[in-house]
Amino acid sequence: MVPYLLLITIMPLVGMIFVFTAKDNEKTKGRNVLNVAILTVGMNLFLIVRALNLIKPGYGNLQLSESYNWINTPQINLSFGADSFAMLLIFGVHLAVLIGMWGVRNAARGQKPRMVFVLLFLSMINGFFMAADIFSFFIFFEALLLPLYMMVGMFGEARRRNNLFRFMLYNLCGAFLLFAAIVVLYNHGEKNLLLGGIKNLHLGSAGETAVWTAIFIAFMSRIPIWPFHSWIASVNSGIKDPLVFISANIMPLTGIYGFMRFWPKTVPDTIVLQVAVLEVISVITMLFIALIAWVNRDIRYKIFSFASIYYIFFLLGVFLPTDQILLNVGYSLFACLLIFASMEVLVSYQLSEQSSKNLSAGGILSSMPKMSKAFSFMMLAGAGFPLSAMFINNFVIMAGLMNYSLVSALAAAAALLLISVTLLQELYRRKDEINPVSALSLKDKAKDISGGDLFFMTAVGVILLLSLFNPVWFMKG
Amino acid sequence: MFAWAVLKIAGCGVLAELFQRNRLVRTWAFLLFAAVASVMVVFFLANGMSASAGFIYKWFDNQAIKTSIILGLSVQNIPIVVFFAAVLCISLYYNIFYPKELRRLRSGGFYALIFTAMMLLVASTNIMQLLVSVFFIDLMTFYLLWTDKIKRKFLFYNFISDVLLMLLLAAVWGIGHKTQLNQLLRIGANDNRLLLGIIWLTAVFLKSGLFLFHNYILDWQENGFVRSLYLFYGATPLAGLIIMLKTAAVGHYHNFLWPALDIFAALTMLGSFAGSIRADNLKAKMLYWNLMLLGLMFALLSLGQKELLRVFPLLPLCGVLISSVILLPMVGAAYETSISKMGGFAGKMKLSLGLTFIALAGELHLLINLINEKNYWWIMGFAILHLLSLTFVIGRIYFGQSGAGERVWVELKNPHLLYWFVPLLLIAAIWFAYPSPDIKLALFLPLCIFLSWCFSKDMFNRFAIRKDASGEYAVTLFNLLLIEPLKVLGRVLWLLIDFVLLEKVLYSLAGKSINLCIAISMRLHGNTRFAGAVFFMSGLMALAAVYYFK
Repeated sequence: MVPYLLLITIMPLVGMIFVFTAKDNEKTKGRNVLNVAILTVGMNLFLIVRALNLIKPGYGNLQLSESYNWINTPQINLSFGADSFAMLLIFGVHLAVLIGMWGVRNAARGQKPRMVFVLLFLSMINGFFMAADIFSFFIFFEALLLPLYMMVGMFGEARRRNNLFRFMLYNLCGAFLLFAAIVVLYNHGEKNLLLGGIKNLHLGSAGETAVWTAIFIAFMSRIPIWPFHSWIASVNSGIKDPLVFISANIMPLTGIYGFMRFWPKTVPDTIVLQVAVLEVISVITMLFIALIAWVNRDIRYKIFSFASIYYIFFLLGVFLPTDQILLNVGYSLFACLLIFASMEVLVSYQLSEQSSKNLSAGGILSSMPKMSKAFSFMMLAGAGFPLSAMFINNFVIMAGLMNYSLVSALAAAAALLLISVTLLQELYRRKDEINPVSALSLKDKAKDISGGDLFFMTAVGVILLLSLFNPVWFMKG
Repeated sequence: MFAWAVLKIAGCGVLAELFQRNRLVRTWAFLLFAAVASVMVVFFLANGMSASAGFIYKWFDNQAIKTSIILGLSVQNIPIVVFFAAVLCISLYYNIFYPKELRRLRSGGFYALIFTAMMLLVASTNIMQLLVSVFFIDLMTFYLLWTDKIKRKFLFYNFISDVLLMLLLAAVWGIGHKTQLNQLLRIGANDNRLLLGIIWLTAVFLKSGLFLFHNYILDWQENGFVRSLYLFYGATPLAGLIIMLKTAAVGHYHNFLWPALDIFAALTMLGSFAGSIRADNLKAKMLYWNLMLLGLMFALLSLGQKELLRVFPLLPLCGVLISSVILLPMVGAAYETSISKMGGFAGKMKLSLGLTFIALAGELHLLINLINEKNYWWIMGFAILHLLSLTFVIGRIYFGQSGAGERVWVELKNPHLLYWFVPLLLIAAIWFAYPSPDIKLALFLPLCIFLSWCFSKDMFNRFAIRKDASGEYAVTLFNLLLIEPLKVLGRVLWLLIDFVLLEKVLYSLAGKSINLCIAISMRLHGNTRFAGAVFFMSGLMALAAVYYFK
């Protein structure tokens, strides 16, 4: 049997080695390494689709299981397993990274390190999503930080270095807490404890409280929930490189995924309070971020807020006492990843045109018809119009929330509405002909994207539209 | 049969959008009209206007949700379908020759596509189809708007409405996990019925542009006449009415809901009456008259679904009739739209004036025939307000003191015969539907005398403000009460929580605590005389503390 899951994890590492050894000079301008990276991602996408077609649709039943011995004493294995939810996320992450690569294909410098670290990041996140036991999960959870730290440090151009250190420090603290929780679990359970088996352990009241609190904080530190939102926002929204921005904003997904895999549907009595507190904080954070995004003029902050608010919305869906909607969360996440990645790439191009020609954002799209079409599609899809899988699946998640707690659902809906209005407002600020664009000479006008760019974005748009009619259109049957 | 006809019309729309032409645009527009009209004629001749199960597409079938798209026709929907088909044909007909329309294929294509989405809405029996069709109507209507300013406002109003509708339907779906619209009846007494009812009313009011929410519709006066006409009768305002018709069960969630609808319907009629007197732009007046009619239809719906359905298709078509006769002086006066620059046209436009009188008589005749004990006061009120406003404006155009410039005066003439076809056809339809004169006409005799008096005295002149009314007070109200407070809240929250609490207190405190620890450690490791002793003592104290607490 072909070890698909191992191959999916290793393929980016192999690609990384080739990228590392590929030559690039003034003539090729980084295209050589970029092509190797794109080819790697493309081949991995092929493997992912193949694996998706081998597993039965559904959530929770890990299939295609593989286990590899790592350390004998104590016995620690690297175990992989995947359900269609995990594979869907991996598929979405790959497509988002591919969109990001398209966005940096004309980058003047640093193409090789950028591609090396992004492929390393991809490999680690694949391992994370396919980890079947707690040690494998922890290893990839922690290993993710290294490439991201390097990328943000080298290309992020974070506005304040202090924030970057803080970001890493708190992420490491989270990882340490998870490590402590896992050691406790390891001592109480089997040697290779599977992710779903945690709920069967008997830790005692104090142990349960301590372990779950540690897990809580570890995952929360990855998600921009108050009070963690501040440094995540200051780092993530300040990144100017589209590929790094996309990678950094994929990170909160690991926190949500962690909650999904660890979280028992029947919440133990000892942690009922934490859950209630987390839900309240989540809803308040959604509203808070939406309000700030509305008044903030920085479009990258708005995109960051869009992704964050939807992540928290999906997290609320994860906390619902039912497994039925988790696949819907996956479908919506898939579309959300593609939309925010496309938004970022398009915005990045606009910002570079703005800075190089000293243009204001208002009305910039009026001289860029192709960009206007692509950008409008993505913004409308992001706002919740029936242009992607987000439409019907968000409806299902919202219905679940309304059934569970009407007040929370209304507050979440208000936040979603606010962020959508924010996106639309930004779109029309950029489309409005408030600048006398026609009076500008040709060289002073913003240059439109090329036909190839429009074709690429149309392809992304088609994938999104297909996901509206059938989110798993790439699967047989 | 019905589904095939709708799909063929959708195909015409898609082809028109894909194959835009800059040459022979009128010919292409005529071909589009001919294609759509022939589909409809074939449909009628084949006796297609009968109930049919139609086309079914299984959309979602997973453990969370099962839903289909169904394009069938029920007996109840037939008059509504006839109305929208008629509006589509009329708009495509005007689209051939109305000179202010420059992108005929594009607009015609969108008319056909909006019609398709509207048919999906009319045929919807489940939540998802209703939501998707509403969103698609919004999206395609959006592309028919001329300027970005209008687009922006349109999108905000309709998007908020769509989200509210989604919330309502999500709540309903969450109860039984069934997508059928009849689930609306299953909401229990403990399921926040009042809140859901308020969401329902707000969603529909926003979409239809009823009183306080009419601002985005008035913006359409900047669009061309044909687009404005189609947008009003073929797109979102009527979509709001159809949504309310489909979800009328929500109206029974609370005793307050139908009276609230009545109040807003009455306010819409009164507000639109005042607006139609104040506005100077003829297209704005047309929109106000249409809003009055929409207010009446909402009021009829509050009396019961049957009351609304029995006025379809002729009552809304009567609105199209009035709009088409109001177009005559506009076209005749070289597309002048300001009433203040018209007046005294009767001499040169006798035929248009005659046709306008016949149209008014047709409207009166229709209203008399539609009146019954249940709707008596609503139709009487509407008739008085609508005809008063109409006669005032028509009086000013044809008999008032002329404010027309030299250009208008020189070019003034009856519009060519193509413009006469639609009003004549609609008048004929009304007289054909209700051929016998009615004794209730006597009820309107005092009204007619009063109207004549209005003609002679021009009493509303003193109220008419010669500027374009755009409903800006509603925008100011929303800005003051909703938008600005939210913005201030956003800034205050950022300042208090992010900046003061997190940045200046928590982070700063954490940083300073670490600095303090470092400073203490450095002191303890310093080369002063007592540093070693203090270090030793503090170590002992720490050990003692651990021992004590353990």
